[in-house]
Amino acid sequence: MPVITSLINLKGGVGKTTITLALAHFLAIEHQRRVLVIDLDPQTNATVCLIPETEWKQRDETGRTLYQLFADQVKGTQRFDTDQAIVRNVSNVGGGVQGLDLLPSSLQLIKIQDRITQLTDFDNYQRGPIFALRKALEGFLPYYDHVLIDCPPSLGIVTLNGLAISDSYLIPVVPDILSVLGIPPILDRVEHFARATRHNIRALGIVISKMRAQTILHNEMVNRLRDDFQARRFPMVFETIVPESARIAEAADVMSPVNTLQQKYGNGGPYEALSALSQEFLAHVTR
Amino acid sequence: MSHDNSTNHPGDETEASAEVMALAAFLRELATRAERDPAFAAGVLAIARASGLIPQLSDQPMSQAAQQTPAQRTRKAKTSASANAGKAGKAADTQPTMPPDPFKVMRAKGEVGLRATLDALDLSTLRVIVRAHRLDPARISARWTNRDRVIALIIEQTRARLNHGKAFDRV
Repeated sequence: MPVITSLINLKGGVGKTTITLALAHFLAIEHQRRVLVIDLDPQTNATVCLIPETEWKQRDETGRTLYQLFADQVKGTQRFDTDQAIVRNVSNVGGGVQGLDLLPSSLQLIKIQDRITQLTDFDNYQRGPIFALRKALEGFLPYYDHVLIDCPPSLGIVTLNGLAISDSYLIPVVPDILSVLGIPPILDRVEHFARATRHNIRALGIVISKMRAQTILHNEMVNRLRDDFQARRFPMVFETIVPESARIAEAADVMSPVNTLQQKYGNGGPYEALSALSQEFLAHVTR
Repeated sequence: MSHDNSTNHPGDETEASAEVMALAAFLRELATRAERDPAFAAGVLAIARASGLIPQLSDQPMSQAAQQTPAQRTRKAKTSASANAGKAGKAADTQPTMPPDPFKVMRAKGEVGLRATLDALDLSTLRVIVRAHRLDPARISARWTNRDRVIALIIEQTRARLNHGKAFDRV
């Protein structure tokens, strides 16, 4: 069975999608792992970083995105077909990366999120479509070495579907005041969910992203996060720090032609950092 | 008390350093704007190159010249000379031209119009456009010597960026 990792933070813009995509690419290309990216975020950012938006649109209109999975729960239909929904060998690197697959999200999830939430009992999770994703992926997971789940910036029903199949989670943070504030509620909520569903979900660690090394605040917050880990308040903080970089931002353009990861992320800082992050990630998940 | 006009007055030094400071501030501002605004940078670059302040970086001067036969070189020189003679009257009026903004051209004239505009440009200008608008951040086109390939890249990237987000309309 694969290692299934959710990337979570209650705050948006902390690098969840960036780190999901970078790990997926490096695991698939540099470590020859079979990787499935599940985009649970209705913003659909990871999806349109891996496939052209025209292709996403076509898939969305024909029920081949996660919208259909959750719409089925609300409407009582069974139209979602996992095999049809998974997009194989995605990415702009070399025209598609062998072994890097995507289960695409949909903007339409925004429309039904509230309705799914109404079906759910958040105290003991006995009622509601908490395990819809798990059921849909039965039979498909053994094909992969890693599943990376890009979660929306909330701990609602869609994120819980991701956690329900995860055996670990990563918390990307920008080392600033607001994104660090969200860490304790995540730890509490995931622990509560894991206990209620009798399912072990390991906090793999905190990944610092969008680091501006020249900023005093960022440096202070990194030290604080590491101190909090020493004091056992927070999970381990990854040694690798992902820098703020225009090149990483540009890497989101799936229409940009690239042949290698060095070209995608830019030689030097960003590429080196993301490569190191994938190695560190592998070392922790296999521990 | 006599004053020697040939020596520097302490005030002159202050004035000179103020000028240097002002020049430095101007150049810093220029550099900052050039980094922030690729179109502005391309414009400044085009003017600097046209004025000879920055040498024209030809993309294939050595390789092309080396590959040409003496007859080809002579023919090219003649063609160039006659073209220059024809343009001589206009030369004084010629202003350094900024490379066209592919996004503006495609919006105004469509893809066919953009292709026609790009067809009239040399490889070096096409590369200025690619760099100025970051149409190839990975710089995989830097070694391409085929103009048509660079033109195709500019058109494809311009079209992709202009259509960016259209699939999200009215979801």
